[in-house]
Amino acid sequence: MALNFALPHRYRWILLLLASYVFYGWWRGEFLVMIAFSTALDYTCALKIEDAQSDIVRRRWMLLSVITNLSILFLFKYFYFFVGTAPFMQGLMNEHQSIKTAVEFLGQSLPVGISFYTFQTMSYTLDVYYRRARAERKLGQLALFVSFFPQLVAGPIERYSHLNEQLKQRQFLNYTNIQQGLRLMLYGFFVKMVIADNLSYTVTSVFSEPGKWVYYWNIIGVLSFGFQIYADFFGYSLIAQGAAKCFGIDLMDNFKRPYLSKNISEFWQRWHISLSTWFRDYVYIPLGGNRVSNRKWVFNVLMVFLLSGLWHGANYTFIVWGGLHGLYYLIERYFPLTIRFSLIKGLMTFLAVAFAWIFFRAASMQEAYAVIQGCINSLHGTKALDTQPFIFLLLFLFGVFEWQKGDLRFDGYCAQLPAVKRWTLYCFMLFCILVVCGSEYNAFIYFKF
Amino acid sequence: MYQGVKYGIKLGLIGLTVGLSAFVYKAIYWEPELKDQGHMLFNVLEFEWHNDALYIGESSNYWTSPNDSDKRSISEMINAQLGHGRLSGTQVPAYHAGMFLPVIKQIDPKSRVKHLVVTMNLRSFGQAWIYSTQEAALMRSKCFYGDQHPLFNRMAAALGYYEQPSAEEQEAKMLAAFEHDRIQSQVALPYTTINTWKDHIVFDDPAKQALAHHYVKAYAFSIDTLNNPRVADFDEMVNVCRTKGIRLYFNIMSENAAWADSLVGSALSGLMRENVAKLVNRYASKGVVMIDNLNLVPAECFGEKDWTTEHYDQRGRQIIAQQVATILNRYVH
Repeated sequence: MALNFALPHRYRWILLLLASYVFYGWWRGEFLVMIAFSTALDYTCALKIEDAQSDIVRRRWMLLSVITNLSILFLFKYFYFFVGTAPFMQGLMNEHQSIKTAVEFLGQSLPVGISFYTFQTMSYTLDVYYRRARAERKLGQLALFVSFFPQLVAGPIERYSHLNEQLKQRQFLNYTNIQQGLRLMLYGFFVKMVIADNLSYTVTSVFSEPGKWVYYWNIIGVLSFGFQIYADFFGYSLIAQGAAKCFGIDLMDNFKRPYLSKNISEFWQRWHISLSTWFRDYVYIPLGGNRVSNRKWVFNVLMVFLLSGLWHGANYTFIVWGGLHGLYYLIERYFPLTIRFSLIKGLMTFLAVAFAWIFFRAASMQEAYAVIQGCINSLHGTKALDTQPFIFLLLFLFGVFEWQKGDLRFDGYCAQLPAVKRWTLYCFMLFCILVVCGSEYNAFIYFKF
Repeated sequence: MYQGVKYGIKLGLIGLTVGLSAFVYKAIYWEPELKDQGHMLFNVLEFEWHNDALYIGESSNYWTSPNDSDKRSISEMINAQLGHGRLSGTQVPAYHAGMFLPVIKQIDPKSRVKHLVVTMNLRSFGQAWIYSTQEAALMRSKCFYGDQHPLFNRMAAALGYYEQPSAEEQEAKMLAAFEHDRIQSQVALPYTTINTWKDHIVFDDPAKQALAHHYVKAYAFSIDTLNNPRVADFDEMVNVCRTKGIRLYFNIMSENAAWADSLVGSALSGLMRENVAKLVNRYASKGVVMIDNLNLVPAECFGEKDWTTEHYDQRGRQIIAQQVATILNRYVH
C-alpha cells in the first residue's frame, strides 16, 4: 500500500495489476492464463461493439464474448459433471489415455474465483453492448478491473462503471480511508474466525453423520449452517471491502442483514447482492422481467433462480437449492402471507431459507435426504454433540449486535460511537479473534465457487 | 504532538489487548486445547517432572489384540520391569520423527527426564509413509508443538499457516517415487524400482498378492541418509537431546520379516536388514543407544494379517518391552 501511494498516479495501475496477478498466481500460476484470456477477449469484443456500425455486428461481438466466457466456465466447472461422467465419455476415456488425463484434469482443477471474475468481465461487455458504459481503450486498465485482488476470488462482483472509475481516479493516502478499511477488516475477521469457524464443527459433524445425533442436534446443525455460511461470506466481503478501502476504493455492499428479511424477495435484496443484481440486470430484465405474460414471468423467475443455483457449482443439490428459492418466490407472490407480526414472518422466511441450505451444504442428494431424515428423527440417532455452549452465546451476541447496528455498515456505525465505546468494541473483537476463534482452519466457503 | 499521543494510546491499547489475550489464553484455554489437539506435548509436559524416562511412539505402543489378557502398553510393561526410576509413555497413531522432534524440543532441560526412548519405525523412512495423505493433518497438530507462544501456535493452526499438501499431491508424489526412485543396495535385488518389483509379483490369491504389494511398497527402499527427511529429523533429535543432557534410545520396531520373505523373497528382508544396519551404525556413532528389535518378534505375534504394521499381541509387546527394559536398566540408576 505504501508503495502504491509512493508511486506517481499514472504508474499505480501497473503495481496494482502486478499485485493482483501475483496474488492469484501464488495459488496456481497456470490459471493466470485464463484471466488474461478472458480480459483480452472482452477487451477486443467491447472495442468491436463500440466501433461497430450495425446492430447485427454489435450483437455478434457480444455473443462471441458471452458464449466464449460461458464455454470456459462450462469447461472447468460443469464439463466433468455433465459430460465427463456420461457413459460414452467413460468409454472414450478407457480407450484413450490422453482424453482420460484431460477429463480428469478438468474434473480436479477448478480455478479459484472463476465464476466471480467471469461474471464481472461479462458484465463489462454487456454494459458496453447496452450502451451503459464506454469501452476501455487501455488493456491494462481493464485487466486491473477484472483482477483487482481484494474482490478477485469471491467478489463482490463489481460493475465496470462503479469500480473502473474509482481505479482510474487519483487516490490519496487518507487516514479516514485506512481507518474505515481497518474497521471493516477487523469486523470481517471477527465474523469469519469467531462466528463462522466456531460453527463449523457442529455443521460438519451433523452433515457427515446425521444418523448418529439426536434429532434436535441435527436441527441445530442445519440452523447453524445458515449462520455459518452467512458469517463466512459476509466476513469475506467485509475483509475485501476493507482491503479495497485502504486503497481508496469503495466496493459494493454484498449483504444487508438478510436474516431479518420478512419474505423471500426481501431476502434476495439483502443476500449476496452483487450476484442477485447481476442476474436481475443481465438475465431477468433481458428476458422481459415482469413486463411479460404470467406464464413467461414464472419461467423467468424460475430460470433466474435455477441459474443462480447452478452458478454455485455442478451438482444437483445446487439446482434444487435454486429451484426451492424460485418456488418460495412464486408461492409468496401468489399466496402472500396474511400474518401481521413481522417476527413470525421473519422466522418463517428464515426457516424456509435454512431448509434450502440443507441442499446447498450437502455433498449429494442422498446426504441432503439423510440430514432431513435426521431432523425428523427417522434415523433414530442417540448421541449428543459436544459443541461448546459459548459458541451459541457468541452467535446470540452477534445477532443482537447486527440487529442493534441497523442498516449502517460497521465502519459507519463505529464512527457514531464515542471513542471509549468504540475502542472497547475493537479490543473485545480483537480479544475474541485471538482467544476464542475456531482453532480449525476453514477456507472461505465461497472460494470453491 | 497531540496526534502523536493519540496514536500512541491507540497502539498501546492494541498491544495491551494482544498481551492480555496471550495471558488469558495460556492461563485458561491452552491446557484443555493442548490435551485435545496436541496430546503428545500435553502428556510430555505432565510427565517430565515425575519420570526419569519417557517413551515416545505411535500406535505400536498401545495396540492390543482382542485375545490379549494383558492389555498393557509396551511402555507400561517397560516401566514394570525397570529396576530403578520410573518411565511413562505417550503415543499418537501415525506419528513419525518429524512429529516427535518438536515435542522433544519442549522438554525442559531442568526436568527429571534424563532418558528418552523414541520409537524408530523402519516403514516411516519409506516413500509410502513420507508421502502419506495424513501429512496435512499431522502438520496441523505440529502447529501446537511449536516453540513460540501458545497463542501464536494456535493462530497458526487457525489461519492454516502450516504445510497442507493435498491428498492428490501426496499421492502423485508417492506414485512418482514408486515409479522412478532407484533402490541402491548391496543386496542383490531382482528389480530396482518399487513398481517394477511389484509388477512382477503375481499370486493366484488376490488377497495374498495385495499383501505382497503392500510389503514391497512399505519396505523396498534404501535410506538415503543425505536426503531422507526422517534421517534429518532423527539427526536433529540427537543434537537437541545432547544439549538438554538427555540420553537418547532409538527403539527400532520389529517388522514381519518372515512374511516379507515368504511373500516377496529374501531380497526384501535383506534390504530391511541393510537399512536397519545403516541406521544403527549412523546413530550409534552419534552416541545414541540403539535397540534393534527388527527380527525379534515372531510372525505369529503380529496382530494384523492383511497389512504391514508394527502392532503386536501381548507376547510381542512383552518381547519388545523386555529388550528395552534390559538395556534401560544398564543406564537408569
